[in-house]
Amino acid sequence: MMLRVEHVDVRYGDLQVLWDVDLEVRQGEIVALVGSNGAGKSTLIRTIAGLVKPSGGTIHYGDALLNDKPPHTIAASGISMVPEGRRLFPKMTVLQNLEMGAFLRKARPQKETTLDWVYEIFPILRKRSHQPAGLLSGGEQQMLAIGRALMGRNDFLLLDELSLGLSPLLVKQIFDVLVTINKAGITLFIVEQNVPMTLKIANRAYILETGRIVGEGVARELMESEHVKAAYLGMA
Amino acid sequence: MGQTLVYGVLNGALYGIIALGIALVFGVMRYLNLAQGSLIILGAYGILFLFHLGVDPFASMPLIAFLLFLLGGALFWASFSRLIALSEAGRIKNSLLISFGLMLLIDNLATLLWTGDERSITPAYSGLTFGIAGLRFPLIGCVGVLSALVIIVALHLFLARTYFGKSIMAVSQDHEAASLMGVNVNLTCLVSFAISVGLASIPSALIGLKSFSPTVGIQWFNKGVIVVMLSGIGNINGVFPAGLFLGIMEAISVYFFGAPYREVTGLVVFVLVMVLFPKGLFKRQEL
Ligand SMILES: Nc1ncnc2c1ncn2[C@@H]1O[C@H](COP(=O)(O)OP(=O)(O)OP(=O)(O)O)[C@@H](O)[C@H]1O
Ligand SMILES: [Mg+2]
Repeated sequence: MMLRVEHVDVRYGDLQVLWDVDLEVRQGEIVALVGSNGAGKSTLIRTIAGLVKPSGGTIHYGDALLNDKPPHTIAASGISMVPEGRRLFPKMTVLQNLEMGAFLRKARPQKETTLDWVYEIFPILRKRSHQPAGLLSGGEQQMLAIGRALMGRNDFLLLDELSLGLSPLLVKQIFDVLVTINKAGITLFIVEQNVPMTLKIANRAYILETGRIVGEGVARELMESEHVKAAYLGMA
Repeated sequence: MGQTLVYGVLNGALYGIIALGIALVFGVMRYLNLAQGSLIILGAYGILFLFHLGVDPFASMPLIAFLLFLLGGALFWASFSRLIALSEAGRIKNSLLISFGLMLLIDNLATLLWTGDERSITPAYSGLTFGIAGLRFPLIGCVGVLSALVIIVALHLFLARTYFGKSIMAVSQDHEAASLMGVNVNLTCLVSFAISVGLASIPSALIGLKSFSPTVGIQWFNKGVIVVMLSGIGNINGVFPAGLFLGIMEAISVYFFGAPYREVTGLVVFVLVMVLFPKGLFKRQEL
């Protein structure tokens, strides 16, 4: 077991947004978390990354308890994240953003090799390498956000809402990349509103509604379930 | 007129180096450290103390820089570190409150220890000047400009080339994203704050060689803040030219209207620039 989330509650002040969330991700898997606006998907992924502290429950990565660790320690212990809204360093160039991605001590010596790999996955980034990240198109920014996360050389990647605001063609391209990355041995935990695309590439999925996990299963089977069809695939 | 410009440039370099410390902390953390001027004056007393023991003011600058760096780290740890979690507006407001208290504390402590008398550090070479092309250059002022330039280039290289420097830049642009890259944001902020207080040692020496008393810190802080605004917030590379700009404008006004209008000119220039170029004089086009 790589990641194990057990009985996790999260609150913002008096407002509780996650209740008793249980989920797990095994090595090499692509696991999806789907749910509508405001369900608490970002909150959960941010809690795993250490940006939000859970008020109850435990989060384990391997044998390590992550609950009270700060985000930089969690990053160092093997988890990278592509945050919602990309969160690039806008005044840095593409290359500088990628170099910041390799800030982790273990990633530094391999920086050049990883950079070649990232440029191979996203050739457009090589062309744009000396442009400020803030001037890239939405699609290029998303590619840079993924590339920056890959630079950290971590085995586990959290991805929040990659498809937001991108054309269907770009979304397809990016999801193809996710499959490639996964084949290279990186475990993926994907939060998405684009349910059909996500369930196509995921091994397993969880459904989050108003802060609770209401369903889980093999992605292919979930696609056939009446509830998912009605609520997320637009098939009444 | 040429002579006036020389003094303008020398003063401007001093403004620039004062502003550098303020800009670093404001750029990275959105803290406005009102006590920076008082810390500069505290450093000046330190240099004066060592001078009485026979140490040359420029020779004691590195030691004072190191002590101020430690003091800065301690101050951050004790009183500013908790603000990092706040919103940008919250950080500005609360840092103003805390640093205002700190300023009063340091100023009163200095008065207690050294009285309110005006002091000056006076090594043998303090009045020396040399002439080039018919203009007179005060030795100390020129050494000051040179050391300011060296420090600015060094800081620039540190921020642009080292991993730690880059992490400071990353935190200034998006501290949450930086933490996801593995950057220890609290530590980065602590060190940036400590560096900024350490940087006060250069104006400590330069102001110390002019004259100072326990309560003049805030006046120097004001110059620094004006320069930071002129440069454009978050633009550390523009701070030095902005300092020179203010120094030269002041010098020109003194030439035409006389010394009493010097402070007014600074403020008028400030208001004009803010109205005409609200993003600062030297800010690159915003993304
Ligand atoms: N920092 C915060 N402070 C207070 N409430 C918050 C905060 N962040 C999120 N919330 C609330 O928590 C709930 C869950 O938000 P979250 O962003 O996790 O949802 P989401 O599933 O990611 O939604 P979306 O699909 O819009 O990204 C929402 O009701 C939101 O208003
Ligand atoms: Mg979200």
